[in-house]
Amino acid sequence: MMVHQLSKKEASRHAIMNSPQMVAALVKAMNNTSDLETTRCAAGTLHNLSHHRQGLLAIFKSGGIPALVKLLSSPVESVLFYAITTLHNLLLHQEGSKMAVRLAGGLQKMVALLQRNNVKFLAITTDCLQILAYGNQESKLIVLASGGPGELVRIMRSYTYEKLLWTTSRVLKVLSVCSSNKPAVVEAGGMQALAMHLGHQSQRLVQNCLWTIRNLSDAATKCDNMEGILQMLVQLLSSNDLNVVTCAAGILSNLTCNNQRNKVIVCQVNGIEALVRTILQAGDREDITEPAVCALRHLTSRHPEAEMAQNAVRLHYGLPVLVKLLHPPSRWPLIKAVVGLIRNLALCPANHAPLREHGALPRIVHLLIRAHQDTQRRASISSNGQGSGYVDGVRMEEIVEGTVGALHILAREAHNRAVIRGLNGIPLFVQLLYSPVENIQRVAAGVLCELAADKEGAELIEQEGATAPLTELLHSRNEGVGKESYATYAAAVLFRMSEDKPQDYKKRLSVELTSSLFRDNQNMPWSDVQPPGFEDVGHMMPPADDSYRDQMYQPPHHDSQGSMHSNDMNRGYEHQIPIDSMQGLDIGSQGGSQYGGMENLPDLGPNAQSGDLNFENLESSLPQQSGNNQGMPWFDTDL
Amino acid sequence: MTGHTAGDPLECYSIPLVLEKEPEVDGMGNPVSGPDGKQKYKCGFRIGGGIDQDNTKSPQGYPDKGVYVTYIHEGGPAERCGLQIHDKILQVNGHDFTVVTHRKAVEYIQRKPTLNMLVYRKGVPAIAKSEPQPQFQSYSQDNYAMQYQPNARLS
Repeated sequence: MMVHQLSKKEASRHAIMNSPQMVAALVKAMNNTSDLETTRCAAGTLHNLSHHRQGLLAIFKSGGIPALVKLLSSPVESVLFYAITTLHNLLLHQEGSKMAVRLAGGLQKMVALLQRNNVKFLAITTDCLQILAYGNQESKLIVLASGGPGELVRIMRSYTYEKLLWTTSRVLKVLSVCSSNKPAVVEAGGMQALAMHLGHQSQRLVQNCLWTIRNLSDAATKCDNMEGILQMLVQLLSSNDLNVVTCAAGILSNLTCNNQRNKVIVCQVNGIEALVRTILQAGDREDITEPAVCALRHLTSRHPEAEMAQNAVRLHYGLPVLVKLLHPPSRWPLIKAVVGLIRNLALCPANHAPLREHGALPRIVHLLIRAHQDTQRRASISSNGQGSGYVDGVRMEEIVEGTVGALHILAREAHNRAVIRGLNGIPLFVQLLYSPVENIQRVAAGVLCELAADKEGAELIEQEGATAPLTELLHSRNEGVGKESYATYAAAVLFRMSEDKPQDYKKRLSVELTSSLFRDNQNMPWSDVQPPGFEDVGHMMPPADDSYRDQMYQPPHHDSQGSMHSNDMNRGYEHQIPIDSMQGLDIGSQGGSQYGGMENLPDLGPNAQSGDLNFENLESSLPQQSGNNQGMPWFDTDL
Repeated sequence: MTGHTAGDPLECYSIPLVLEKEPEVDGMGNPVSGPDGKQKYKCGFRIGGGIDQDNTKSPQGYPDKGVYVTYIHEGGPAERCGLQIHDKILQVNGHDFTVVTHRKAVEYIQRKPTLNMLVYRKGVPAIAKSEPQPQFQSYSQDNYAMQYQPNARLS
């Protein structure tokens, strides 16, 4: 007690500090006594000492830290306060303290103390946690394991003391970069709790909340109750503070990614207008324009309000600035985002002419050529022929795919097609059919498909020798995803190219195409049509093979016998389905499948709905069928 | 795994294969003829299934009444052309094999010396949408966590 009194005075304090034995004795006394008053005084003394460098050092060296951490369990409030503030000072100014506190189990105790309700105490405790957890993964995990995220989020929700909110938000920020803590914070309602303070006066609080929300945003895409946050973020886009705008744009970009509901909400709170304005005001600040463009890209596709969004961008004067962003000084990440956005905007026919008028087409083709040349160059340099290299974190193949994809949609309009033809796009697209990247093959086939709609286009395509690679694609044995779509495009191009050809060529071609495509049962009867490539096979059975000839049967028109019918232009032999074997085969009424070749060309746009056979998803009819199986065998036959 | 109901419309990725049958030869290398005097061919695989078979009795547990490849002879024409065991045969020389009796399936296969087949193989992905996925940016980077220093001005 006396020492405590002495420590309150400056001179005697120095004396105490300079005597290591004194400090050690204090520490020992503090730890070993059961007398609360002693503890309190000793703790108080140490607390006073901790305002000085020497004092800190002395405490540290005397094993003060474990002792103080022990005191964090004390039921006496004043002891607790002395202990936490001393530890805080040590953590702030004494090297080695962090490790010592961690080793002494300080983290768990501090998290437990978050349940107390003295705001100043909480502020110091959270600050200690921040110091301990920053940059230290193990500490973050201990905080998680001790239930830290829940407590911290609760504090954000329950208190108004600015300093406490600020220190807590900093702890949450530190935790928000830890992949294990992130989901826990989100689940505890962290996004909403932080967003509560986005309108606060304190700029430092708002900024920390924004940073934290942004860090969390990629884990929050499945959250509900986001209307408030999204509305707030859209408002913050008008802030004068560029950091705020940058964060808001980034968060909106992430939250709208793959989330239909959020997309619709943002559109409904005038997000499109706000984002376009942000882009206009940001100039060449790519920190802002890139996430904003990405957000618009998300908002302009794959949700019920997408079309409205595509129009809104134009109505708020977004198109000129976006085309401008395709030019220098824009770097590749931004360019890639803009190209993707333009592709989506082109889904809206009203945007076709304005995009053209602002010079989007030549610029996109130019970017395509550059990116393509780059991939060629890298492929020729590198030993294994792989051209993949990153420029500014973007692969040139992505640019090729993106630009061709955009041109594919832009090519839906005739005038645009003429411009693309004029820019000599066709030879390049044909070249791209040979690309090792499947997606590039697909979009190249797609744009050629659109271009083939015009006679001039079809002629140019043929002149470029596209028939060979397109046929190759058609018969390709790749199992990759997307094969179906580029095969479809390839087929369509080939068919359109053949419009002028003689009738029997057309018929033969369409037979090949229908059998190859194997899709859309409505229009393409998939019965006894010859698979392609057959003409090269030498083993033709002569037509005189009467013993195997089945009964002829008339091609149906629109009756319910379904889609099986004969096709008498097969090369040399026929394979009709005999009527007797049709008994018991429930072909079902597939409806009037007219064998009209390719007249009913399926919609090849990106919105084409193609059902899928997913063996996992089909309704199992097995339970019903089991009743019919009685007595039926199962055996296999060697062939 | 659920299967396909025979007669229902079907749309899926399929693998096109061309199988060239081998003339059957005896131990001396002489060609073997069938009872009709014609050269016999072999394909090198076995099929099971058909709409008149009970697939629940199949040892392989096939999920529907399609025609499945139950065995591939090593070194035979089927192996060479890329056919694999448990492939579901969808079409042979234009004939629909999803609604066919076992006997008829055998007959169609035996008819011609070359088989142009379309098969479905498990693991082949479902038909994908052709729309590109939006890019997703993860912002979690450590440089957003502020460095704590005593008396630091927080920017």
